[in-house]
Amino acid sequence: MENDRRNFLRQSLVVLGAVGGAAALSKLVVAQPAGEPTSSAGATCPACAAENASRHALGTDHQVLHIHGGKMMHAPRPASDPEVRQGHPNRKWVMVIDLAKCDGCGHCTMACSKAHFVPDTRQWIKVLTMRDAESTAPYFFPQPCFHCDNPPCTKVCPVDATFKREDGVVLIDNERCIGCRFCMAACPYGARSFNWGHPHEPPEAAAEPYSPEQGFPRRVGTVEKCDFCADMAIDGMLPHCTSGCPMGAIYYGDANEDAVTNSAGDTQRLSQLMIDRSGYRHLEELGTNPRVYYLPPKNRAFPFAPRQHGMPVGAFPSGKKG
Amino acid sequence: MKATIDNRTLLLIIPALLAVAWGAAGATTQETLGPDAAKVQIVLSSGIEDKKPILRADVSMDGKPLKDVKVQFAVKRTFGELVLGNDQTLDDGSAAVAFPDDLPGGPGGELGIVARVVEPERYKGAAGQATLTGGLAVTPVDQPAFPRALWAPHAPLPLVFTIVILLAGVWSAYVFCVIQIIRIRKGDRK
Amino acid sequence: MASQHGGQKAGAGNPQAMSAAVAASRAVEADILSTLGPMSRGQKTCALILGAVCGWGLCAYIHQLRIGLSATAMTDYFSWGVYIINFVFFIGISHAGTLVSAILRVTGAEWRRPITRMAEGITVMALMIGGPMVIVDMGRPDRIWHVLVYGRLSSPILWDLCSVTTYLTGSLIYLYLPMIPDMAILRDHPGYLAPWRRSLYRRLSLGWTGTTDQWKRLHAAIGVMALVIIPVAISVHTVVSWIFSMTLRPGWHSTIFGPYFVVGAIFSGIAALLTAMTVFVTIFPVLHKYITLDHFKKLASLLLAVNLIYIYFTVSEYLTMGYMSESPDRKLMDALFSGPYATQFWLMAIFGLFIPALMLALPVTRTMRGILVASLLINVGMWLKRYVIVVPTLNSPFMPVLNLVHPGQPIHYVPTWVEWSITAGAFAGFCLLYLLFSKVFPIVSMWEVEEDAPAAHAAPAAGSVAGAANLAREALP
Repeated sequence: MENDRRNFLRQSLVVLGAVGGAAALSKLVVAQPAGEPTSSAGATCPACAAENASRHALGTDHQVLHIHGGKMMHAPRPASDPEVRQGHPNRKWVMVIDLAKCDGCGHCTMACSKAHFVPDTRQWIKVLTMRDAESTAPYFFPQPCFHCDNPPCTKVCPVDATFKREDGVVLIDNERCIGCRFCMAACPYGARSFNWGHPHEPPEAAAEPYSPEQGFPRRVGTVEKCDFCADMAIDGMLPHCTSGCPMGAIYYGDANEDAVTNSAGDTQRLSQLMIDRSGYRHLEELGTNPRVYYLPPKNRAFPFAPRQHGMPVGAFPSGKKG
Repeated sequence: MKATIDNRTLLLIIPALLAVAWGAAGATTQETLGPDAAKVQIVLSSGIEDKKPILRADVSMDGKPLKDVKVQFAVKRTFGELVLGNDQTLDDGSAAVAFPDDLPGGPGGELGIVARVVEPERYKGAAGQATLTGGLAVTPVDQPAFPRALWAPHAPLPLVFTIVILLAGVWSAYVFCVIQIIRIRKGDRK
Repeated sequence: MASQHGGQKAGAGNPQAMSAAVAASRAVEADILSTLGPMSRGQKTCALILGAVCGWGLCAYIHQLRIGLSATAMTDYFSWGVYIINFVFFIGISHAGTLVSAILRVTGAEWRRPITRMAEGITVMALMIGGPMVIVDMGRPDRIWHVLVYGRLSSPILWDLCSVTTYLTGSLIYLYLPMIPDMAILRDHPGYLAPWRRSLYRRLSLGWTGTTDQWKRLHAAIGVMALVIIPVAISVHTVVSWIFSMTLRPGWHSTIFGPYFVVGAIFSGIAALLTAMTVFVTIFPVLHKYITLDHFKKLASLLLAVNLIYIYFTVSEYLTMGYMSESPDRKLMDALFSGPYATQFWLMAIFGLFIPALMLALPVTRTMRGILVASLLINVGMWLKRYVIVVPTLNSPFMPVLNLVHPGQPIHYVPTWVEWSITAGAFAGFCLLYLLFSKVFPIVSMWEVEEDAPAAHAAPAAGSVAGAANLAREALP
């Protein structure tokens, strides 16, 4: 009896010690005060702050709606919402980038980075300078995440933190991600970046409730990338890169509607663009089936001239072009 | 003697004039409506002409058909309007373009069609809308479950079976060894 | 004296042969038992230094936990680095146990007997250090349980998890089973033993008394484990290689990776074992009687064979890549042969592959010292080889590299003090664990050595462990 009690006490001490140790360890890992936001109805969404529209309301499905210029918009949904993993029904988001119109200004990058609070050490859409061979001409190449239909990244994720949705979008759930970076190794396009250190976001970003559909507030030790702005698309708003492009080089649309639109409102039939302008996908032979198509830089609107804008420009023999 | 406009009044008038001008300019640049655009009626319909499906717009003002008006036909898409074509109205005020039958639409092939006047200036901006069938019927799919695939949440069955069978085989060998160990231990107590 | 109270066949053998056998057993036990017991001053100093380095590594890890992986030199381009290299390296040397212990046991090579426990020990220690290396590399180690709860079977990391835990469990069983009779010998040792040792050996010996039934069960279990652990070990390093080859990157996306890594693991495993043997024979000189030059030479021959196979695979890999030279492969090979990674590549190839092969082949260098040098060169070379696999490929992605911090400059990966400290801590931890293991458990398997001694065969009678063991073994179907 005496022994039983002693054993019990000893075991409880061990358990308490283990629990305490684990708690201390987890505190070490997430040492920054993350600050769980209370309700999004009270916080100011960054898009609202940008457009000086700050009214919020609850929709009939009790989702927080924002009102921008008289239009009702859905707020990005939390990771626990199963709809986040399913995607918008009967939609297939797709992007077409007209390389003949791209002048390398980088406004797409700036618009995206501003809206998503991307630190300036990384870019979700990169404007690369490509040159397929010494004997061919250089061209600018805006490259977001391609949201592939046969994504190498989702195949290798051990915890289903990055996932492909029915509407074609590939997202990352940073409340699930364990930071193994296998997806970064697997992506042949280098579309992903990692939060190596603790994120330093402005308060309006940090106060938002986390949603995989917008990618912030960031968590240390997790992966991030372009999210195709699907949460805006469902409300008829073009992604930031698309609307931010002053040349109208980026088109975005619903492949189910067979239509894509650019920042100037120019809407084209997707299938016709492919026929007329010989659309292709980058590194098609890898079999990843990207959802971003490119129109070759023929009859360029702007001659190629290396531009700085804080981005390095250099010739590099790229892989094969489609 | 007529009263002169003093400085204080000027300070009030000039901003007001500017505001009006700016508003007018804004209104004009936003919508570029021709002066008589509001009076124009456009009725949209679909039909068959020369055995081909067409979209038809009947343009009239005050009940009278307008001729030589250039009408642009477009179909509403999520982010903008896809232009289908332009046509000049005839004497009966009708304009028509070919109605492509392969445009994805609603479950019954419904499409939101818009017809806008682009010329002449006085009618510019007048628009008519209608939901017409004639597009490709696209049945909304009930949210399908993700197929078993390497990229999907659930692994393909051959992979699952292979892993389970291999692990079961090896761990049952371990269980055998553990049983031997237990029996060795029991052997002492015989 | 501990006679295992069993196998009391009053059979053949004259009393003289019998007592000779018993005396031989006693001599073996006395020799090996002398390696246990309190640490000498030299061993204590060693342990303290290793402990200090290990502790330093732990401090570096805590620093990394606090500030995140920005404590390392990894970037969005070099997204894997020293930690993954260490992981592959340690899992690689864990194949020592399997080859020597299991394959040689299954093929009936009797000369394996004095070195099986050393080899099995390397396996367990290497897995226990290599496994945590992956956790050190994770951005969110606090979420490790996600792998169990949300695991996706399609991911090679899950295959890795299944494979390595299966291998670790199997290696522990395979290390423990042959220890049971030795635990009994220690339990019954008439000389002085510290109380904690006595009670430890008693518990671990499971009441072993050496009955025929117990021997039968032990041999059956060891036999099964020896067979099963071989495919498990092959699967482990194959699956580790698939972490790389199941991506699309040049230099990684190669069909040869599975067999390549397995051969590489056996290669570095035998080299590690040879190093360990030399170390133990040096710090426990009495072991010279059991681990002779002959053992070194036989292992050296095996090592040479695997060395040549590894060179063959390496040549095949680079020749195939280089002959047609597709663009992404071209950039990688330029970097390896004449670019920023040329030093590491040629050092690895010359000092890690070719020179050791020469040293192991030429009689003039096939000495204890020569074999030791070759094995050390091989282990350093194999660490460099893992570096050459991981880092240059990350240097040659398909898309142009965008340096946002220093525009226009190439990006390099130069590991930080945190990464080196944790690496040093891992190696120190491995050595320390192994040293402690050798002080608590006999590093040479006593009953297996006795079993094979000539005297034992002459007198398969009661009173000797070896005799009883031989009897039981011969009685097996």
